[in-house]
Amino acid sequence: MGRLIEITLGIMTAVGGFVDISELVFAAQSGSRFGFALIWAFAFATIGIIVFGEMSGRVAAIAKQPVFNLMRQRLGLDLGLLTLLPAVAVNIITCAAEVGGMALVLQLLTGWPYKLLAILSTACLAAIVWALPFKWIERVFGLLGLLMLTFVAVAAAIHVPWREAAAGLIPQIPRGLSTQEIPSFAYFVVAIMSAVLFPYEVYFYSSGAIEEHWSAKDLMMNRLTTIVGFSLGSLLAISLLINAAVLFRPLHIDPQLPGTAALQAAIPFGETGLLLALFGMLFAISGAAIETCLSSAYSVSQFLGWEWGRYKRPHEAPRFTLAWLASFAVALAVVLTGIPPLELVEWAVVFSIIVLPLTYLPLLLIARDRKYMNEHVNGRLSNVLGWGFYTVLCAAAVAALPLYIVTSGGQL
Amino acid sequence: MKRDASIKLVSEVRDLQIVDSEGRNCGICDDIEFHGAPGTPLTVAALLVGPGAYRRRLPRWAFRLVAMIAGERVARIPWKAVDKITARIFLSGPAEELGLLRTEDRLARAFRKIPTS
Amino acid sequence: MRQTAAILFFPLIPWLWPGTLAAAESSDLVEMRTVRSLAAETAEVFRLQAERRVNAIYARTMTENAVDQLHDLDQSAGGEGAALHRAIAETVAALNHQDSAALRAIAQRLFIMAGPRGPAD
Repeated sequence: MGRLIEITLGIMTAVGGFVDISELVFAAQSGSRFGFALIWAFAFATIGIIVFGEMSGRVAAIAKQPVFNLMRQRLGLDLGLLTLLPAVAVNIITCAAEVGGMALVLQLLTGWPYKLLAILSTACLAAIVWALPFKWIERVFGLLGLLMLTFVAVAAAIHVPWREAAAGLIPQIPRGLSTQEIPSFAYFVVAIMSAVLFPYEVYFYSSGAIEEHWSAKDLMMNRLTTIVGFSLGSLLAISLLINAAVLFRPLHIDPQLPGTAALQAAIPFGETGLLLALFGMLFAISGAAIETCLSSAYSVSQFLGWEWGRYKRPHEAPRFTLAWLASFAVALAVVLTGIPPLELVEWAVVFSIIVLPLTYLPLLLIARDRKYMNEHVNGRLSNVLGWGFYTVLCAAAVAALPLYIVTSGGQL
Repeated sequence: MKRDASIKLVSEVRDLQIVDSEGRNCGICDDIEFHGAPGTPLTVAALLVGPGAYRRRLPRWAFRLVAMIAGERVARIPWKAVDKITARIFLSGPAEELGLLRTEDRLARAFRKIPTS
Repeated sequence: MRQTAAILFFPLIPWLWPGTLAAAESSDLVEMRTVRSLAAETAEVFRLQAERRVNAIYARTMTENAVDQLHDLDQSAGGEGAALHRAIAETVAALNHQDSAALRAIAQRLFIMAGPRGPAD
């Protein structure tokens, strides 16, 4: 019974923690720009994060070594640094986007000044991470993030042409797009893949597995959490897209303000829906801010061989503690320069996809290595899917920056 | 694997996590020091830990950048202090005796003063 | 961000040149679409506020953020694009009067002007 509760909580945490500010932004913009035509991109990317998430959890449980330790061993110092530095930079930019997003949502709730809220919310998050046990942090933010289910309720309440929406699951380029629109569409496909497959999710997930001392008996929980949890989480993102397609597209809204997503809930449900949506966004984005911050600290600590872990008290892993405090400080400094969170999201998404092939390669190599994995090495399906997605990620990594330039960040 | 067995130094020692006798992480084996001369047997003298050990492994400009940020310290772990090597390098004594974890201990003293839950 | 990205990708410019030129020429189009969307978003906010489906804090904050974004757009456009400056000025005026109908009309007009290239618009 205890095991069942553990698995259920793990799945619910994965659902509530799936959506962050980048998925919020790109799901809403995808729906308003291209209708249902990008649902397949979310579904496709979700399969990717399930594959790599499951692999990273399995590697943590069996090899009992974290991602960046393994990366250092497989790639060596120079290539390892080449992976670490961009990964940490992308994590911090993403953390800054999340902190900025939090401040924006709090501003919509309170009306207080944006920069003051950025400082207060960062201080609050730092205090929470300092004082609360890891399990509490993960569960509280993951479960409160389930308020995002408001957007699923919206999709059920508005008149969605479900047959048309289901057709969006088929990979497609919408008919009638001009030659100038097609690169924008391609940019959105790449951006969605990047937003769903953010590297911090894998670092955080596998580091958490090691902190919780996973072993072979946890492999089923790992599989269920990734498959069921991420799939259901993806439905949250897809419901944002569907709602935008039905509610925003006819009104020529192409969300420029992060708070516009909450209008989806206000239209059918009024002020109650608005508040539930805003609180859901707040907890989902805050949870992501904590994950990105800790991911930076995990990456650096594991690469340099420091004592690390949120299960330890701050003085038991002091350099790790300093690393996550510094991550929050740098992220806050970026926000206080005044760069809009949406612009930070663009930076994070474009540079993350470029870093992704370097991140996932060591994971793929270790997961198929019997020396580390014994009989829990990748099966045929994991190998095919893993290397298949890896090939697609490499293509996306090459295409990301040119597409960004040519399409003005998907706005053409 | 014991320290007097045959090993592949690049894949089986360098870049492995080092753990002291109390189970604490003490850094990564960043390089290896040998003793020997032409015509004499080459023996492993010590493991080197710290940013200073990157000097021979990184391009000069990259090492200068690392040194500006992290300094050039090197801690030297005598080979006889290595107990066994598996997926990690286990030491036979505590980190303090080998000059490891100095920064960690200084920070720990500061963090102990701040209350936690 | 776009300037930095362009510098990083300098070696590929001979292949990207046609697309890069198109992006530069179309930046007015991007900005018009931004103004259109801001007008449409805030029109919807005011409509919902009148129906008491959003609260005053949310409406006020969305309006202030939209005005800030429009001012930034106005400044970055400099002396170029008279039509863009006019559209921004009209939108800001409508925002200050909380005129939902005017904002919707601006959004519709800009959609016709800067919009259709296919189903995406």
